[in-house]
Amino acid sequence: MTTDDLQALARDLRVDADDLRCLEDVDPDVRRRLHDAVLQARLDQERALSDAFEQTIRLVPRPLRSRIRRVLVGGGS
Amino acid sequence: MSIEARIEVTKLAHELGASAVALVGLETVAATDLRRLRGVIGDALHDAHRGAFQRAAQASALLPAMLTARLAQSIIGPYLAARIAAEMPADRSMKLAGHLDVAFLADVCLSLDPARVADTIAGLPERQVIDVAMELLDRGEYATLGKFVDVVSPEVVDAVTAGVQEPVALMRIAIGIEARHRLDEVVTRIDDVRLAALLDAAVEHQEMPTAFALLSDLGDDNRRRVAHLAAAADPSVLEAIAQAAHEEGSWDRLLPFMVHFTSEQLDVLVAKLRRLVD
Repeated sequence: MTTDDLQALARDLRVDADDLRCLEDVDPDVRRRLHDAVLQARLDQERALSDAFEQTIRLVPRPLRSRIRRVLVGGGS
Repeated sequence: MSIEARIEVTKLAHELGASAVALVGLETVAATDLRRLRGVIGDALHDAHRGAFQRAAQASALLPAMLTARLAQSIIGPYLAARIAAEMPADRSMKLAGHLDVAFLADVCLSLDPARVADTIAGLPERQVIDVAMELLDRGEYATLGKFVDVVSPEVVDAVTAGVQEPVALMRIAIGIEARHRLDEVVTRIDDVRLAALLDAAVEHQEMPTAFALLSDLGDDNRRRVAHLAAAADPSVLEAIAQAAHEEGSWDRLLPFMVHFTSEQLDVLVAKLRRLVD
């Protein structure tokens, strides 16, 4: 049975806890650092996407702007 | 903890954009498990925003390829470009690649999963692939080069190995190769002079444990070649191999090589072992 912290990591990764079974005997502090690194990587990715989409919408030629915005973020205006 | 596990931790750190120091302690996990874990985490990170990558790929189809390429280089950046390329039809990716600088494409490669873009790479002009590979080689991005060995043509591999100036770089490229059978194919295409120089470099740079771990994945023909070259080299090579086997606790991996040694060469190994054990 996996520990609570591994269950939490599995939830954040959206994988089955069994996929992380190899970490069961790893020091909890090491598991925590891995979890932190995963969360940071995902956050960095999300920020990069948000910034890139915002700038792209701003910089594409005006006639295409609405259409690009709809594809990238959905909705109007 | 094995050298293979340490290599896998370094690769996982790269996958996460983290320093290897942040993951110190994971080397206690078996290398095969770490490799599987790296795949799980890599897929999870990609899937976390896969919808966004797909939308970006769709949006790129609405713009002229040249404009998309300019946006990629100036705004999107290589990391996101790599993720988006994985969600793009191969023909579209190939067209965009034709408008991108070699330097930018090399940057993209650092974050690209070769398995997700194998069709694109296969369809690119060989000259372009070689140019990007040589850029990565100039930058010393050996692990990145290694991971692409799995999806590029033998001709590209030959061009890169011919361009390698430092023998130890060949070993560092080999570390990045994911499909181990490809390592054997690559070694087959390296001549004995370069292979012998690689063994000498492993001793010189105190990286024989890494070399030994790689050599253990070779097929019988290449093991025979390596055994003969090691035996014919300076005794320091055999001693370094013995040291590596001892430190890694992997004398069993040395056995397939030892069958090719003469009794005198075995004496060198045994003498070294005695010194290590005493």
